[in-house]
Amino acid sequence: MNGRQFLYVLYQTTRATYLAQEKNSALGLVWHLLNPLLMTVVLFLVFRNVGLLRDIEHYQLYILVGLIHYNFFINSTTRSAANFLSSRSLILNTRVPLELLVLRQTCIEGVTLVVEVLLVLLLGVFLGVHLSATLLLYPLVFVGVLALSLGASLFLCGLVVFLTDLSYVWSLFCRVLFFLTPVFFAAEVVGDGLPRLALEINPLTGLLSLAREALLYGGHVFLAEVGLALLGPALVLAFGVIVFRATRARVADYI
Amino acid sequence: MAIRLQGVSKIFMRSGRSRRPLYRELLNIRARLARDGGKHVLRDVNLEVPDGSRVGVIGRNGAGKSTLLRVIAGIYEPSAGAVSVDGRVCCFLEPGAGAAPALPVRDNVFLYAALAGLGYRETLQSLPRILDFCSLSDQEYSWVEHLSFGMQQRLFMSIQLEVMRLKRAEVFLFDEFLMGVDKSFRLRVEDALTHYPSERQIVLHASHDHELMLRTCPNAIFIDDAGVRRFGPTADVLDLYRNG
Repeated sequence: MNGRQFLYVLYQTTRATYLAQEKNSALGLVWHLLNPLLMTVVLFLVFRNVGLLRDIEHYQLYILVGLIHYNFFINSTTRSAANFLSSRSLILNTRVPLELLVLRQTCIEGVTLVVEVLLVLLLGVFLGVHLSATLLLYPLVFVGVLALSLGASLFLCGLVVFLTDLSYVWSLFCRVLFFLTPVFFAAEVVGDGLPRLALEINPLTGLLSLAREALLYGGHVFLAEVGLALLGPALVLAFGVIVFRATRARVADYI
Repeated sequence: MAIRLQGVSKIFMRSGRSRRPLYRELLNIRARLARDGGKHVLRDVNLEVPDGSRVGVIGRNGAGKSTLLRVIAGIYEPSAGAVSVDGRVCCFLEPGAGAAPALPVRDNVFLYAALAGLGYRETLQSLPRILDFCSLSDQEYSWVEHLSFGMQQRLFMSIQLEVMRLKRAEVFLFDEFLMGVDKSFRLRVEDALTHYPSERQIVLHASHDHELMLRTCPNAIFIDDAGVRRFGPTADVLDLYRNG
């Protein structure tokens, strides 16, 4: 399958999966927007008067930007693994490239993220955020979270066929990750020690910081910051590709 | 030679197919290691299928017919030996695999045709012909899940035959593809299978329908006890199968 045919099959399978998922929903994509909005309202009401968090400018949008990127990561990885496991018939009876089965869920979640980012921009304008040229950096953030999610999804799908319990481990990991990612707090409020180290090595930390600068604050961003934020996702993607390539030949035997 | 298998074996680890919670696997690990020598589904298969062949694959349930087709398709990697296939492979090993029953017929034609190797424009041009072939021209926007099993079979088979007619693949692998379809469609497919394949295309199909084999395949393979017991004229192979 050449590159053009791969993209066409990816488009067709992504479209079909998305339409099938949304078929019995009256509100469709709106549900994806309601989830982070509702969570933002709850987190904002609970934490808005807490110590250092009080000083965060546009705190409600700060939370929303964190949530939509965090949700993108956990939804695309968790659903990729679930969809991969349920694609037994497709894997055993067609010659579809296995990478495509992982990529299609990342694409579906990617579309949702784009709509959510547009919602953030709209709310930002409404709440008095001044958009600046830093906004042009956002596509790099998008590429970064896409690479991070795809890498983690490839890793998960490459192993979940052999270790079904990995789905439960991942679900637990995602819960812990929520508190090790600056979604509703700033990285600076966490004191030194293990949690701080975990925050610093978490690739989402740098990406969220960049996303907030691009979408909300418009501050000056150094090239090194961008490079550092994209380094983590690039490493995770490379690791995911290596694991997936190592296991893909045995997937049909074990699924 | 378009398809060549040299000393091909396929072994499935028995435990690999039973997915149980990790703690149960660990508790049972000694017993697992003791019994897990694996099961030979194909053993030292040597096979050469020349261009332009239409070959039936015959054998009892569990003999290894579907595994052979999957190894040729590249879905299963052989545990030993080498497989070489010249040209693009198009397979129909389970009706509707990869289709989206919750979507309309039209969407499924584009999806299934994409998986079978057709692009957007080709599918658009072929759409009326595909729908006409399976008698679904008036149900382009009906949900596939609302169609009967036989009508779904008709739809997916028609797309595969269109790929064959357009010569977008060289090797076609079918597994019990006419299950559940009526006689009129069966005759139409038999006619297509006799006239569509070019001198470069190969059709391999596994089936228990021996009359169909005799009408559409000049040659057949008899798979028995994980190996190829005979590859030759269909009538002779069927005699061997029935008598032995």
